[in-house]
Amino acid sequence: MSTITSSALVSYANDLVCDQGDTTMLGGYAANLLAEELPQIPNGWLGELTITSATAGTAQVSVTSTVRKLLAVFFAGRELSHEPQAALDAESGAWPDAAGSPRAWTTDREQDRTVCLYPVPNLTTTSTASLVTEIDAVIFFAVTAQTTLPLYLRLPAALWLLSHEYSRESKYRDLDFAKLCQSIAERMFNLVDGVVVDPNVKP
Amino acid sequence: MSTTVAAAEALLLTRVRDVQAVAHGDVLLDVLSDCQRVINACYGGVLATASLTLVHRQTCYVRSDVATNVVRPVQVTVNNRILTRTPWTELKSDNPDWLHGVGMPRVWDFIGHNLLVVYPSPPQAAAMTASVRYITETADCIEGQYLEIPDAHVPVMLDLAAEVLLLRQRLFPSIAEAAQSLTQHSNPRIVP
Repeated sequence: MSTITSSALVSYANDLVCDQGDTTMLGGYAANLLAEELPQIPNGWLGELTITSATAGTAQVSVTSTVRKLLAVFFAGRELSHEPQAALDAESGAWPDAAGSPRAWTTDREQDRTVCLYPVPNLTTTSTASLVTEIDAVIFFAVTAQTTLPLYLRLPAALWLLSHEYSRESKYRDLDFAKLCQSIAERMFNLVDGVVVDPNVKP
Repeated sequence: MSTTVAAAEALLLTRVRDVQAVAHGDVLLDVLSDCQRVINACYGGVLATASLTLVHRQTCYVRSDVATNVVRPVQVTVNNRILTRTPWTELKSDNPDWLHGVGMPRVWDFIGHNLLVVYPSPPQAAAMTASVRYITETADCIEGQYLEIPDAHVPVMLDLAAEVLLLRQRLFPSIAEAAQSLTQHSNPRIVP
């Protein structure tokens, strides 16, 4: 698989501006792009399955630290409904105590990186088996932080880093350059998904 | 496919007024390679087909399970039958247990840039292979060789590459012209 690492991306971005960028700052932007920004770019995210375990009698399940956005939650192979807690309150005031095989998940009024399963699982699940064939586990379908990028995203990602580098306060700050870097990078991120956007049309 | 890398370089350097490659010689091939990858990812001019062995109770496969140079699948066939592309979010209404669903594969979807869903998974006894048609990630451009993308897509690739090189030169008014040209060469009707 052709991929590019964070350090190679920084080197490439700096080549584009004849080594005028600050590699330390660019490295920080690259790390942030892979971990935080890429999952937020429409169509630019990379989906993954992550697996974890649940304990009988405990509704709360921790979400893996690499997860940025949960798309779906599975328990024992079944996709659970994502419900607001108000809906569960309306169904039964005693819902947090109900036990059985979970059929819904919620994140309202929960700690960060925790989901609450309803009903509370009545069995303890494992997380050691295969992600895709295991049936007795909690599986998150999620957008996750990345450590590498596909090679076809190298140029848009490099321009994205440069847009940050040249918009920060520095002796070579260039807001016009930064704005164009961002504009072209966004257009390229769209292009790789087959979306042709007319740059002359105002949104 | 009949445009040489050298011809593309010459055209590009002429457009950015750097025919001797004084300003851009260090990154020219890299920028051309990347623009070719972006344009091919968009228009799908270079396609390939790979076989994917389907696994009982497994509906999700990562990109590298198909091939090392996959950008985006465009068609999945099982037993010479073309599967329907269906948003994965609709699978739950068909079967909440779809993640490990078993049956004759009917639909597929591609999630983000990484996950291929083929649903349902084949029965245990059936050894089933899917044929996946996909847009390829083109290789790096090499001096003395040809571009991989069709000639019809070369103008839009050169527009994009010119934008990047003009950006390096801080020739901002010229970038607007390159962007205008790119728009004229972009024909959304040929996007697969």
